[in-house]
Amino acid sequence: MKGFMNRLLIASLTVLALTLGSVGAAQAADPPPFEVLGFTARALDPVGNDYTVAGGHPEEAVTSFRFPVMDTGLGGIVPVEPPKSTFTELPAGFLANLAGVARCPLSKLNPGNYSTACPGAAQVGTVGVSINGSTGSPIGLYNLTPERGYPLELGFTYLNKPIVLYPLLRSRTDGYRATVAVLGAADFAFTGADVQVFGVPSAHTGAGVPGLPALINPTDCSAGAPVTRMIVDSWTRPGRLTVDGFPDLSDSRWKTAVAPAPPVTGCDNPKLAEQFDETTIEATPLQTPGGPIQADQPAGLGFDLHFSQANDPTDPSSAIDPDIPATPPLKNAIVSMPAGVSISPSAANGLDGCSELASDPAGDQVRYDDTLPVTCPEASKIGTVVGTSPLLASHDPTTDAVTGAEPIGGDVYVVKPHPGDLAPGGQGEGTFRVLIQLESEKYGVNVKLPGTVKADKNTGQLTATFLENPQLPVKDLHLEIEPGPRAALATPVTCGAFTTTTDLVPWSTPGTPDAHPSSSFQVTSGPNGSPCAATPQARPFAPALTAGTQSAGAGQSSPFVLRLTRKDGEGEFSSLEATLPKGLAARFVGIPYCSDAALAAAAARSGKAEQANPSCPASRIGAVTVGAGPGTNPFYAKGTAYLAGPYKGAPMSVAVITPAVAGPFDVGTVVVRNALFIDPETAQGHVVSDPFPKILDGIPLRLRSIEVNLDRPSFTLNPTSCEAKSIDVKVTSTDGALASPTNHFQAAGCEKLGFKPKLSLRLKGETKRSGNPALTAVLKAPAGQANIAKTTVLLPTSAFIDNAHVNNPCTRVQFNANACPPGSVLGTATAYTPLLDQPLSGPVYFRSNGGERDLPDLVADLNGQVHVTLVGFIDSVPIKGTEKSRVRTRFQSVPDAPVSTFVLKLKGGKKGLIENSKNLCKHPGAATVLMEAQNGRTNDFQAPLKTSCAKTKSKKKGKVWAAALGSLVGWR
Amino acid sequence: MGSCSRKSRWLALTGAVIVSAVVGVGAVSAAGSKESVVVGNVEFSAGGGFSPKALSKTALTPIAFTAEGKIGTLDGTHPPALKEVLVEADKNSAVTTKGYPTCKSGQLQSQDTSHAEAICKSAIIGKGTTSVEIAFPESKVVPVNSKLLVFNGGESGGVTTYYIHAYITVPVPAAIVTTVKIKRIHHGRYGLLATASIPKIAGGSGSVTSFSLKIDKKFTYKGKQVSVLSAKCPDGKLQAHATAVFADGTRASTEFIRPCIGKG
Repeated sequence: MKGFMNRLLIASLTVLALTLGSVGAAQAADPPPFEVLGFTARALDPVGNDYTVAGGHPEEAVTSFRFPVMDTGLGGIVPVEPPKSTFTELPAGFLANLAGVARCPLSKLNPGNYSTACPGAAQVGTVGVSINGSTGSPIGLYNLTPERGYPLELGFTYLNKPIVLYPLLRSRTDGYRATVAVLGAADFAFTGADVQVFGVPSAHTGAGVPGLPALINPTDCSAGAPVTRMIVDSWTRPGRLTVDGFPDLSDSRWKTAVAPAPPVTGCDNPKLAEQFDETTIEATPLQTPGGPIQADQPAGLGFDLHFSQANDPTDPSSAIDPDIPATPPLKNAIVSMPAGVSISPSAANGLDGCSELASDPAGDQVRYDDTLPVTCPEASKIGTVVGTSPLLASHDPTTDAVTGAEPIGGDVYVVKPHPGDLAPGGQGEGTFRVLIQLESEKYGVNVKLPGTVKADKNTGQLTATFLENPQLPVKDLHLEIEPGPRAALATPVTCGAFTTTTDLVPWSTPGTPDAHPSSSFQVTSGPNGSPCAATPQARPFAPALTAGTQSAGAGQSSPFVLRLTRKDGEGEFSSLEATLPKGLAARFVGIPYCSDAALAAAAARSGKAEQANPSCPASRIGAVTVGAGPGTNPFYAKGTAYLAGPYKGAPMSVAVITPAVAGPFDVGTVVVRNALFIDPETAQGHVVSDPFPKILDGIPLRLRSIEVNLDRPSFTLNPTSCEAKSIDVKVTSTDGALASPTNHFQAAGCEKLGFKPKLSLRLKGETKRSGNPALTAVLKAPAGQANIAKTTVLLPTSAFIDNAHVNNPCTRVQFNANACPPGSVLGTATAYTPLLDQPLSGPVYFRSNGGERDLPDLVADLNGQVHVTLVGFIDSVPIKGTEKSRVRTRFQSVPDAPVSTFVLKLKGGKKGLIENSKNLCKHPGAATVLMEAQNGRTNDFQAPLKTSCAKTKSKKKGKVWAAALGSLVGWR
Repeated sequence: MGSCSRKSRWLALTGAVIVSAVVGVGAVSAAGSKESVVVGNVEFSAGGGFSPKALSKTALTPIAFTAEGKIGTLDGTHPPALKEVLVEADKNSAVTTKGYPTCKSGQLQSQDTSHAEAICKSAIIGKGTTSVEIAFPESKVVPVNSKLLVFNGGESGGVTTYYIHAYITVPVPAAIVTTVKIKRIHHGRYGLLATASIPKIAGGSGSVTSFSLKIDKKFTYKGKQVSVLSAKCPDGKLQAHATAVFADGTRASTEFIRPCIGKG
């Protein structure tokens, strides 16, 4: 209140003086504008010359400034506007270290009676205040015990008023310059000041550590002239402040003046190099405390950086010698982690990112242009940091003696990537961003150190880079990336010694050479105490497989799930082949293919874009979950399986599209195509995957599990055979190892399925003996029954095979090349199945069989969405007691898949395979049909051979055929 | 009988050779001996004879004719299919079918052996057996055995026809009927030309590998006992020349000379 009244009084007087002056003088000229005049700021050597030694310790620092004045007309000289706050920005790197100087409590600065009770030992300089046109004698400037929120305070008493100077640290944008603020305290009409700060206070006070320098020159010889800037406003026109209390220079009410100094020199001083070269580092993965470092496990990181410091008031053992320059602060740090240490995908679980871009929906949560703490989400914090500086001492609370360096704590955050940091498709070098914030509310210090971590696109090796660090002296920096299942890093997959290397660049570069301290650690155990692998190839590889349909009901649709997992320390998945059990079918009806163009577009999209608008929703057939990362909590990425078209020789494929969005990282969309082969003879599915991505944007995925859940309604269909089967998988590791896990598979309830397919046979065309009629066979199978496993058709003795027409069989080579000779075509076949939109159809060939059977086979080559071949074995069955035989065609391996109708047409006439040995009109005959279902049921019957003859009643129907059937036992 | 016999003499031996040629290349040899011919990779050997050996020097004498033979390859591979056999037979042999019942080809087609025999039993002039190898591309060789029945097809326009029927059940039931046409020629020692066109067996994948045949039918015509084959022996030998044409273009020719004893 008292201060306020004083300010009010002074302001009133000033206004009055201005008013009177203008009236009384009636002079012609307006008062000059408010500004800073004659501002100088210099570091001096003992003889008063500019002191430019890089990192050196000036004898003193002086600054002086004046404000425009006017005559009040009443004999007074006053500033044209009463100054309010002054901010004096020192050149970056120019520092005053007063940690070794005694401190004076603020309460002693002005106990009253126009005096100060501060001890002489606390004096660090002098101040000469100009008022009423003249500058008074210098008065003492003292080192004060700082209030909470300030790292340092200086003060003096003038006109019975304590004037406090607050050295503050500016923001990163402002180069972390020290800025001395006098905040609204100048509530008297002073017109200027001359300030002197002692270079070696003890030389002036006789107290403290003898010879301990307090001033430190910058060490950046390439920065040009160090500039000191003064910023001031007035009570008349107070300037606007930024959120962190510094002048907002966009407000023209702030007046500035600059005082350039000669550039610093001598960065090639060997003493600088000697100091800087003593820098040491230690980098160690953090896992279970006290235990060995385990391979292939999540790990934090303990990182210690130590700089040697002379003239360190916080360290009694430090050498004290003003001739020893300060250790050049660390400008750039490039830390290369050993190969094998990589980013752990497991870290992405629950991880968020801190935004440092205003364009981010969350806004700029870092704000490098202010000194306020970041507002990063807690989930973006991955570690902690503690730093010490010779500038900040801890003090004994009783004696106020220096007890050491005051630790400043902070946190390490993950920062959201910038555009371009991560390559689309994950094929480039990944750039990941981190932020180290050292923050002390107690001292009002906030240092934000942004860093990038480059991950090699091939090896995942990490190189962290922190550029343009503050030109502030640091003693120790201890950084801990949190350990645990979600730790940011993963240890190498093998045991051995691993070395972290560095390239540390001082601010005095290039005059001072870089330092290259390194640190090694030993990985001595496999994961969870398992044996150690010396090479990746030496790792075991025994992935576990679980696979099957959720419901085993025979012939029923049920989601199919395949899950492949591996343990830590085992080889990683590279690709897989899966052979599905016979009879496990899929219903492709109504599912369009996800086009190649759509898949290519997906691969070029960001993961988030794919998540927001999946590429081929109509083609979706299931979900895929991919686990990545070591440890107990891998990161699980959700993907989608789509039906896609022909691929790599397969009639169709399954494209797995996985948006690779993990925590704040979006490394694009991963498309893995899986060729889906259908065995032509068994309709058995065989899936061959493309290689899985091993590394995305420099993050080795360390795939742990792959789960495919084909959950499209009514898509997968159980077999109608309840025989024990298996799902066989071949997995290749990234090291070339092969594993062949298998999983039992068996449908249940087959006995409930009926089996009553019907077959009709018709001979068309020539009916006379020696004629070659055409044959049409139509098989119809009711829905919901067991599928056909085997079918045997015995033609009556009236049917020979025409010896002359048994020619030109298609060789298997020709067949496989789709180049069967026309003469091998016996007819056509068409199969209608509820699994496909369109029927399968194609020629029926006479095809060689490699000698497995006497006669070439009858092969229905069914084409369409898939390719299926039905192979019939042709032979003859002798009739007991006669030399006669019957032509028998056996389809021994009919796929366990539902077929509603099957039509087989064999040519007649000149190419006809069947030759009548009797007149069909006189001897119509019947075929014997023996069918066996996939569930073991049989359905045997006689199928009369229909002809174009006029109807004649067969006397042999009924009992005769029944008798014939009885004789055919064993003829299947 | 004389003029008729002259003509028929030639036919007799020719027919016998052709019968054997149905399954290979006909061979005439002394009983117990075989003659071999190698052409390229194809090797066939044939043997056979007739009885009795003592024949009239001037008059045709009924004979029973036997023939056997084998066809193979030097390297053991499947022999090529026999496509056609041309036989020039000794002018001192004859074939006589006049007055003997005949059978038509159509009656034999698509018939198994028992049916063929039942339908044309009276026209049978000889019997035998044969072995056939069926080798489809990319397939193993399937050996097939069959009975052989030789039927008289009758004479028309100076051409005598024989039908040789075979029925195989492996791999599938099929009937094979070979037609033999015999006509008169004037070619030095030879007086008959028999041409056998052998149908494709198993579409061309079947090849005869052996045969054994006997023709000895005698019948009564106009009150006289006659034989379908007869010969005379004016100069102590009977001679034939045969050419076999295989599907792969191989042609094999050989000459057969068998001694006889002329009487009277």
